[in-house]
Amino acid sequence: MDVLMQVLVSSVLLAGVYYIISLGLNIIFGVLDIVNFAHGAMIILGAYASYYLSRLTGWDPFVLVIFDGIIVAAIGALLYLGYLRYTTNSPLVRMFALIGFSSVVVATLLVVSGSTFRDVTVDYGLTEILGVTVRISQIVAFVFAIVLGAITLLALNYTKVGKAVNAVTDDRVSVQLSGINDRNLSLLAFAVGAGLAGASGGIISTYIAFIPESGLQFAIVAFAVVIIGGLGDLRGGAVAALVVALLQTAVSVYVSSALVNTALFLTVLLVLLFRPRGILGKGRI
Amino acid sequence: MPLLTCDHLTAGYSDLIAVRDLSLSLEEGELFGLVGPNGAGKSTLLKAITGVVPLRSGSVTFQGHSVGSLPPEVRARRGMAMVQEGRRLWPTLNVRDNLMLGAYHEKRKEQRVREEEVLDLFPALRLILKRSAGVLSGGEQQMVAVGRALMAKPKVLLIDEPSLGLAPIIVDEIYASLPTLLENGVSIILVEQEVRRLLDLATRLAVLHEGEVAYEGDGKQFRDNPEALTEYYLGTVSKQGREQ
Repeated sequence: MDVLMQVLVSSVLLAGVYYIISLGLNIIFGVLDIVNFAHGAMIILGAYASYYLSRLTGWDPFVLVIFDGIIVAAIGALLYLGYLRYTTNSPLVRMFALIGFSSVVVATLLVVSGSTFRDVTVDYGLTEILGVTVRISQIVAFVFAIVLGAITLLALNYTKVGKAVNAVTDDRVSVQLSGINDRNLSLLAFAVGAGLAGASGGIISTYIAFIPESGLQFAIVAFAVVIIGGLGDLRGGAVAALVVALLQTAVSVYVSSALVNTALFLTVLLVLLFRPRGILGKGRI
Repeated sequence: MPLLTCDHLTAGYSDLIAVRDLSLSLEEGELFGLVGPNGAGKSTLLKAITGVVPLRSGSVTFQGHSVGSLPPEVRARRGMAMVQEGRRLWPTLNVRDNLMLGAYHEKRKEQRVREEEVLDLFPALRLILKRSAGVLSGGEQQMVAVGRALMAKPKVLLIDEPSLGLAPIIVDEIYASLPTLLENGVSIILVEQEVRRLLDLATRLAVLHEGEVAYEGDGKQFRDNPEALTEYYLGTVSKQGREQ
């Protein structure tokens, strides 16, 4: 019973972070129809931004998450303005451009930081939730992720610009015919998506050690969450984040940590076969 | 000076030329009807005028300014609005948001004033303002689509097949709103398959055939005999028709 409770509590805390990892990927896909193959690189950029900013300023890593988001959003905006916006007619070119960007990021980080594991872990002490001992920093990470996710969703659903972004997802031509510059909204969505990836990297860096190649593992989680939740379905993504976190934790505890990714891919495969629109059935195909 | 002029306009999609060397003009306060068989280029012409489909050659002049190279959103801000075939609402947004985004650049207060004007025109929308546009009936969708276009206070409104797939009673309601729009200074280009309805309202009429104007005139001779338009649909009198 104790172990089960531990699995549940850990999964919920992890799910919050997984949601924020996947949110940026989902927004970029929903608005721009771009599968962001550079998502892992953007997450790891955020983690390294936290690492270097922390060394430079000595500030609390959770404060730095905001700066990580801004830095990676700016890099994302430059990537979009400098290249991606010219690739609207060729998804293949776009895919290779994003994979290329990832390679450049990883190679640059290897040159700058080497392959030594880095971390920005913080020690706020321990506490108990439902009889399970957890690190307070994990709770802070969870709360941070939930707040960031909630702000993003509120902005998307209740502001004029957010509604226009949703409108682009629904029908871009109607947006243009309504006198709205859809290209600016695309840029905004890409920058926000990249910024969320960077911020999630900053959050992750507070409790996991990382190397430049670690982005791939986070990207796998993000893609799994987005597929299980349904492409472009931000609410489905929240449920999927919990499913993925539960699955990973349970397999790791009850079966073997070596089988975590196998279980994840199997679940993704089953969802694609039987619920291609995602867990809530509202995603795109 | 005409409000809108298309001069030797050619437009299409990749290998397909849908509109060829077409010229026509719209006067202020006019309702200009466009008819023709499927594939005649009616929808493409509207898309070329609004900038959704780029011009291959020719020009579009609106209020004395050449707008042919401007993106659709800039043309829209200058006073062009279009109701697309199939309504093309934003299904995940509710009716109110669909309307409000039609006046995206206006302040909240002005948006409310315009929304009220649209609701006066289509009172049925008052009851469904918070309903998601994706679950509306075809008639409700069409009212929202026209309303959204009007939120921008356009000088010219281009409407593509408003009666398509709708019950006649709903189509009556949509058509009943058009004279009010004309009185309010909105000029209209209306693409329609139901020729009889168009003949009652249109000040002028053009029949398109294979991307060209087969007939252009006031259409009086067809009012008692709409079947005579068939010849123009089939293209058998394509060139002579322009002289009538």
